[in-house]
Amino acid sequence: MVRLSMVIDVKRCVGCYACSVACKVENGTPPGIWYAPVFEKEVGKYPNVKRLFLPTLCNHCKDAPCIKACPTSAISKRKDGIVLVDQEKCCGTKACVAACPYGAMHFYGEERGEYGPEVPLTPFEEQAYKKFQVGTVQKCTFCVHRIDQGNNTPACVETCPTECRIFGDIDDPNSEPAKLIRNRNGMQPRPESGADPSNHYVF
Amino acid sequence: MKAGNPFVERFVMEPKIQNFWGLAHAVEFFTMGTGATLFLLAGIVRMELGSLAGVILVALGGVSLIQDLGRPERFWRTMANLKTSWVARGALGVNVFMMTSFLFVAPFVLQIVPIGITLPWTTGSTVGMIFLALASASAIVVAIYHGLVLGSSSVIPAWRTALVPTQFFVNAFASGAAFLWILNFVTGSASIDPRTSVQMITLLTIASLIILLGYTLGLSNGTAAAKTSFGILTNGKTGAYFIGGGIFVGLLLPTILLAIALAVGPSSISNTLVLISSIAILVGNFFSKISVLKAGVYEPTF
Repeated sequence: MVRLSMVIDVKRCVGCYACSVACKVENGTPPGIWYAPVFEKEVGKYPNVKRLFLPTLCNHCKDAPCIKACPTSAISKRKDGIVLVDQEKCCGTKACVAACPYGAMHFYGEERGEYGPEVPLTPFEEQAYKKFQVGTVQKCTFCVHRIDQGNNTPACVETCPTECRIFGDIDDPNSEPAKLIRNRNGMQPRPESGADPSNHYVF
Repeated sequence: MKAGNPFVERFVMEPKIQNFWGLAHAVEFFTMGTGATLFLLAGIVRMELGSLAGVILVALGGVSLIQDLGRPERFWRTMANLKTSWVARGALGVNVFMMTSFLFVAPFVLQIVPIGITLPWTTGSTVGMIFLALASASAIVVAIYHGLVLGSSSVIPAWRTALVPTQFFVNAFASGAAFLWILNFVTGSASIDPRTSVQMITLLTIASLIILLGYTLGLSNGTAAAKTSFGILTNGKTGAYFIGGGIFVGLLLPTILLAIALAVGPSSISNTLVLISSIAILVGNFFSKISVLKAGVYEPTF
């Protein structure tokens, strides 16, 4: 079985946010919806202060709680492990938002541009927002449109200048992410959630 | 994440407060819980006005829920995933309840508002009783599913405890009984035994109070997210709703007043005390619902 996944090498992340921006450009997500946010934290005391960065995204869990919670069966898992929301079926109960342990489900409540409700949408926004239905839930798709076209690299992975995001099939023992997980003791985020997230972190 | 890694030990994220369910869901939880238990209790004592009021309350809750959906026109899809989703199971319960309870109360409604239509069954006939039995069974689902929807969220400790569905169910019964008592008092009906009903409301209120205090205590000793929820429930605006509205007005005050009413025995004073208690229980139930919703805090991802 194919299980597409992303391994994030946290040591390599420099906190440039290029992945977040690339995702925004690729998917044209509406304001407030970030599929690939990078969390940061300041640790230590002056003068020994350090900033830590943690790139995140939907974990495309094997036993996804969002799929179980969705009353309309709008969320499903493909054979390659990608979890997707069917906007035509979603009625916006937000049950998946309550169920996701990773905060990866985003409710798209109203159509407005990045520059506020009084400013008309830019030509880019007009074009980009067409594919998002107001009142439905949105999430990272691993850039499924690119995968289906044969380009097996999500935009965030392609853009990352330090190659901290590594994408591939973790069920294939010879794939790059599978080797990283094996050799550098890859860890799942919040494994106690029982969701068996596909993404792993190496430190 | 694995302990012992210096990065992981330092990178502990803050708990995040939920903001996707609020007032509309509190209204729905309150009206549906109260309406369903009111219908159940009114069916037992054969008080048709109570049954009708129960149906109206559940319908109001349904309207509140549907208008809060992102795509209200697709509400009919909410029953698609009965296998794993409590929202879907609840939606099925509500729909079955609305259909069967409507058929049960329809002859009574036509008595009040005669429009020249005669139905081939009455509320007391065999067919009427079948509708009542079906509606009562689904009313139990309607009364309990809200708590289970919250309880099934594994990532919000203030919701995932078994005490939430238990408290919601017991509190809904206290509210249904209180509403029935008010109806009985206002209409001067002889459907219910006043002393028994007051004893029942008192017991349910005390049980609800104990569960709510246990729930709050559990949060205070829980994870970082649970402690954040405890902080929300005991401070600020939500704290005022929870402690002032949910616990004091909704549970403590009625317990004291009902105890006095039971000690005094049947009189106009005890009736006034029970009336005040019943209204307070209903108000408090709503405040406890909105508080529990607002206290929902996600466990940090890392």
